[in-house]
Amino acid sequence: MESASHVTKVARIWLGDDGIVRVIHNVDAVVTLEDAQEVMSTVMKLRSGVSRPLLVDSSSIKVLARDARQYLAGEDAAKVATAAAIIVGTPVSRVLGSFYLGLSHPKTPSKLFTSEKDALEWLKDFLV
Amino acid sequence: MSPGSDEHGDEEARYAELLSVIFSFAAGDLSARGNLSGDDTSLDGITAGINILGEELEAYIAKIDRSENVLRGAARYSRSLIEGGLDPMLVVDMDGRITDVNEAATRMTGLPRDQLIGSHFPEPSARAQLATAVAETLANGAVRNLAMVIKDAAGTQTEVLCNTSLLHDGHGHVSGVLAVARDIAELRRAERAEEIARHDGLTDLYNHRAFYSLLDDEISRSNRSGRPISLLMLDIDHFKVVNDTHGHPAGDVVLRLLSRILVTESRAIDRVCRYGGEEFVVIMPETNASAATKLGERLRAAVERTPFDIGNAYVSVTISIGVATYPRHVDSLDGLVVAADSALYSAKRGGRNRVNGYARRSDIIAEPSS
Repeated sequence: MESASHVTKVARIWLGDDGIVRVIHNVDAVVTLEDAQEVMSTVMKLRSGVSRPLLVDSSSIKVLARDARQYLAGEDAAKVATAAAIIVGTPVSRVLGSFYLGLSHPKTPSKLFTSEKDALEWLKDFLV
Repeated sequence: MSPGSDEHGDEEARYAELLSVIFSFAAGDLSARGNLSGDDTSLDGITAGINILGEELEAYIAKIDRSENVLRGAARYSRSLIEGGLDPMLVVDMDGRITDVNEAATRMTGLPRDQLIGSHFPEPSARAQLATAVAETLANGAVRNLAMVIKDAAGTQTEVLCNTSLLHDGHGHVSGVLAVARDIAELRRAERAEEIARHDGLTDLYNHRAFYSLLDDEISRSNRSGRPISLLMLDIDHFKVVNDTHGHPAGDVVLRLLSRILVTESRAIDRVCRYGGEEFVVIMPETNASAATKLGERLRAAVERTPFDIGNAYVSVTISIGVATYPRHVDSLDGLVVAADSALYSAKRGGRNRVNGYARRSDIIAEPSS
């Protein structure tokens, strides 16, 4: 059964009945370090002590600050997520996603997708 | 103007803005950023990429600045250590050329810093010694206590001990040699003063004080090794007659000549000391009573057969010798001296010009030799 949806300044977050946590960024979201920390804090509460795969919809994100990128790629995120499938869409989100994977080297297995279906399929391998 | 040309004009303006951001980067302003229009075009994507590039470059430059600060701090620290040292220090490159010196080095050489840096060392003798030290350091990693003589610009020589070590660059490769010299004039003066304090001014033999120190060392060594020590105590027979007949200066000549004979006839390991007046002692390490008595006899015979040239005449001199051995006869330093003195006394009483072994009760260890 899906959990209730939690809303932060930049995203809506819930745990799906498939065991995958969804993080859906707002259109034109400008994500700062504090925003990223709030998102991860919410994910931590939702996961019930179990590391879970994340579906992160960043297809219409506008800005992902450098320190936010580093935070999301770091140890804190790795503790709560087994993997992250990042959905990109707009040219800006594709660039942000590519730089995130290419420069920040996330500790959690991460991959860019343009299709939610493909992303969920890939995440199934990371369900524990 | 048509809508199409407006769109074209917007795009031109955004390209111009992006170029402006790129030019700012090139000019060193990494804080410049492009604006995202939010129109989901490729140009927005490129703008986002360039903005990230700016952020990453800023972070990279900040990291380099921090590293440079650390390096500057390390350089200042090294400089303080070098300049704060009282000992002259030289840094030499792989070709033996001086690349750095401290204030103490300029003082010792009497040469200004700019004359030393870049040179192989202006003074030829020191240059050769420095080249040797550098070559040895590059071969073996370090040189310890290499004795060198540095001549300053005024020709004054300073004796130094030089220590060296390898210097490495940031990649760990050997880049040169650090040489630290210590002026040992004070040390040498102290050593000379110590030598003077340990030697008798007339004969240059070890004096009474040094005798006890040397004997103490030998007793300790004997205790460790289990090997015996013998002590000869000897006295010039009728020395008062020499002084009364020929004067005290002649007596001094006799003492000096006798000292020379004792040193010449003794073994290299023996220590000949002037005990006082016309009394002498010879410490014989690792020597038993029998061997010591034979060596004593050699000394006695050498003195007996030598005419002593006192300038205007030759005089004949004989000596009496007492022999005692540790630990066979006694078990202490003082006991050994007393025993040798006792044996000497017996030699005198027995008729002089003889070697007499220490006798403990009925334990006669040697017969008088003559």
